[in-house]
Amino acid sequence: MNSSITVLLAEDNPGDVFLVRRALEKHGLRDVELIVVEDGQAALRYIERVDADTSVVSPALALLDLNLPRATGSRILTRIRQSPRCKAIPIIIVTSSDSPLDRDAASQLGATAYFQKPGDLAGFMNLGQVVRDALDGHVSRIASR
Amino acid sequence: MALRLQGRIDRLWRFLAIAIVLVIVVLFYVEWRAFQAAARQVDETRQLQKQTDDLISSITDAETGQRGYLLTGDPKYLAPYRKAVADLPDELLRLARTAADAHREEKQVAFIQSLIHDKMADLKRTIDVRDQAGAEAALALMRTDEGRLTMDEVRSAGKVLLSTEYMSLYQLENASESNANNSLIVVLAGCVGLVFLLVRMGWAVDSVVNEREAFARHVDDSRQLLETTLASIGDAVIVTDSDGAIRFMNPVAERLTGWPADDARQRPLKDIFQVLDERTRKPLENPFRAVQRKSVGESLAEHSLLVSKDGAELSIEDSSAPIRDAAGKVLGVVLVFRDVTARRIAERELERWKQIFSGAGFGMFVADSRSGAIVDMNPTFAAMHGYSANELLGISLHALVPSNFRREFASALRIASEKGRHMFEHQHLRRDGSEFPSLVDVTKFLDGRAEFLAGYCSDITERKRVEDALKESEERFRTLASALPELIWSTDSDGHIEYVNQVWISYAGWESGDEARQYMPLQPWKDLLHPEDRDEYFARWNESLDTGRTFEVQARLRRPIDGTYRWFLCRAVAVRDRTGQIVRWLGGCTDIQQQMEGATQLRIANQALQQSNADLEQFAYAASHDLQEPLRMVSIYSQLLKEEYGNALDRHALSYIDFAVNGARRMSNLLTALLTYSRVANASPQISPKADARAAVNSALLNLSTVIDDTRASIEVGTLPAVQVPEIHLVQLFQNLIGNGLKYRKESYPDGARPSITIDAKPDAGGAWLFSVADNGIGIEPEYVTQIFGIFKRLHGPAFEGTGIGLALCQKIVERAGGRIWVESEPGRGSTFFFTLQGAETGDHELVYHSSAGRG
Repeated sequence: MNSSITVLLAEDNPGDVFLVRRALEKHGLRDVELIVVEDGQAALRYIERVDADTSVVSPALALLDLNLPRATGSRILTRIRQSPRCKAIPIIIVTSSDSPLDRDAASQLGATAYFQKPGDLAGFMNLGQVVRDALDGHVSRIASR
Repeated sequence: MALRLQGRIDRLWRFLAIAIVLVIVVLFYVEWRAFQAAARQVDETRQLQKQTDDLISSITDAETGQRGYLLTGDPKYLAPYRKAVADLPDELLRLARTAADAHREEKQVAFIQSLIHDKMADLKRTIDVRDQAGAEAALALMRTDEGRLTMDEVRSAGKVLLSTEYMSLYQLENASESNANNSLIVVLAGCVGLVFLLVRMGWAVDSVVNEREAFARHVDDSRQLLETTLASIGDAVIVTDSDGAIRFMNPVAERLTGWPADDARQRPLKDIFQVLDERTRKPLENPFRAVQRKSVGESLAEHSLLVSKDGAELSIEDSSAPIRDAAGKVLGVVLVFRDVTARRIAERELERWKQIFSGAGFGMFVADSRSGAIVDMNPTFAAMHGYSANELLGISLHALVPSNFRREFASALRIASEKGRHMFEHQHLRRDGSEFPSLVDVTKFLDGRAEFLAGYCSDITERKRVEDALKESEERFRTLASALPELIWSTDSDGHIEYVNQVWISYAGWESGDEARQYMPLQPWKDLLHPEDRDEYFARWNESLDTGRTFEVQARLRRPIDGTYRWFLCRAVAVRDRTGQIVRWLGGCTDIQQQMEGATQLRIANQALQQSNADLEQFAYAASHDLQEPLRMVSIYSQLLKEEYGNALDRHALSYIDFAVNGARRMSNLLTALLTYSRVANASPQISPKADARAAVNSALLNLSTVIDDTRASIEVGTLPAVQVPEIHLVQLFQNLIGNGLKYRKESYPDGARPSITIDAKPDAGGAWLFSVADNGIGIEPEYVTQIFGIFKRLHGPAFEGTGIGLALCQKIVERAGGRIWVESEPGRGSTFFFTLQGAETGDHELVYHSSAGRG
């Protein structure tokens, strides 16, 4: 057991993976250990392993892109909420979609927060704060708008 | 009568008995008086005898004493003498009185008196002699027998008297006996008579008693008979006493009044027997009162209703009569009534039928089956032949038929008689010799053994005329229909083919119209219809049959000759009678093959166009969304480059990065606008929710607040309605137009003036609203007023930043809501954008607002 926090990141865009890492660092979350999966199936398999084998580290938080190859973020979200070990962890949807439908669906499926990827650097860096709040137990309300 | 005679005889017997008793009493009294008299005489006789005996005894005592004295001289012998001397006068007096009282033997008594007086004197003399002359003288005197003679005389006189009295006594006893015998005879005779009478009367009494018993039995039987009769007759009977209280009710009366007899007894009749007039429903006079008042029996008025205890009403018929005793005094009232409800109903029914019969607009008659003689008819029947009802009675039906139709008519009647009923048309003859056609329906019926024919007949002149006219009109229709190049057909109200014209027959390749008529009811051209068109065709046809709406469908019909299908427009309209009832369908099919060919091509082109539009919009949506992603990378990483390596770059390099970031941002804006536009275009065309335009303007102003503040613009908003547009679109619409107005403001305004926007709306035609958004900006040259709504059309260079999509979006929103948008402008003075939108009911406003908020 080490003292680091394990966070699952499902994101197929390496540019965004880099930006997420940077945002977490920027907000002092240096002890976060990211497990990055680049497609949906890989994410689902990881959750299966966590459930099947207690020696596999269970994530303390999940950051999910919606638009992933092979399995959508929504599907991963649903699977995590069914997992005996991970069902209570904070889950943040990180997507470029501004569709109210996506936002509502995420809320419905039990996402803790919804972060729309902004077009500017400073905006993106706010993701660090959202993760921080989620880990601290501040469940940010998913506004409908 | 017998009783009265018997009574007279009884009185006679009674009188006789009394007479006999009276006779006995009288006779008895007479006898008793006689007996009384005889007894008194006996008494007197005995008294006379006793007194005579006493007298003789006393005188004898006196003589005895005298003799003793004379012989002895002893004075003691003088005592009886003296006693006798003292008693004798009284005894003599008594005897005399008794005799005087009895008026009998008075002379004899007087004689005896005198003798006694002599004797007494003699005795005295001797005694005196003795005293004076001594014993011898006295004795000598005595020896003269004078004394003794006198004594004998006295005794003899007494004896005479006594014997007379004994005789008298004997006679009296005889008389008494005779009287007693007479009395006995009378009493016996009377007793015999009385016994006879008693026997006779006993017999009479027996017979009277027997008669009475027989009468009582008779009365009892009668009552039994009466009660049984009253109980079993169908009429209700109520009997009251003289006060009108119920004394008797039979079971029928109980049932009709609803009152059990035991409860009703002693109650006043008016409580039990309540009657109303059937028409006026006013109470009728109580029959008891009526009888009492008039004192004669009477019947209730017709149409009386009896209200029973439970409130049920019955039609009754009744009569009432007073009950009187022999003296004519009213003892009570007897009321007899019966339930005639059924009969009243039957009467009414009969009355109704009579009225129907006599008032019927068609002729009705009853005639003897054999002779045809009319026995009854209604006035219409007589009138239609020009007669009065009485004139036709007994006339033969055959007389009302023109001679050349009589044989036919007779055979029709025969058929009716044989089959029981027959309906036929024939000619009638009026009195004035004119004729008319009629429809006759004759029914046979039996009345007892007689057979009658009852019939009705109606004048069908008019119908015949209409039929002829119809035939002619139909002929015309057929001529016309067969001359038309169209397929013409008609069906009855159920869809059964009645007629197809020649064009149809030849198109279908049928032999004749009869072949078409075999197709019932849906099949007429089933085989002719293109398989793809059948379902819709029959669905519409059935719908029209059900609803009566005009049938219209486009369908392909096969031409049997070459097997090719051609398009037809088939239409059918319902033909209705005066009551609105569908009587037939009249249809036609027009060949529209050529039009359809053109229309099909147009539709195909249209569909292709729509598809292409949809694809385009879908592409725009996908493209703009997916293009955002790499753009975001370009933008963010450019910023990252500047942030992390800015120190290592010179001024030029930094400005290049800025160009790249700006370009990426502009492209992002363009893509966002394009995305919005394609969303509006792609929105599914459902019925729009409603939104309040005023609220939408407020939202738009809020979104534009920075610009408004920067430009110090004045915004005026008039009264705005609710409209039939999604709120999000409405906000976008106002935001774009207001934003436009502010963006294209003048660089400077004269003193005091500043950019201004005026938003207003006024009612337009057809429930729509005409909105206007006016500015005082730079205006638009006339040649551009239509161009500006094109996508990516921009009139101005980089001085006015924009995507060129705003107005295109506005147009899209307005047009999707069924409205129109245009601009009127004066360059240098400003522009006014107008658009029309369909108004919403204000009543739905709240609902509209919530639903749009929910979707936002």
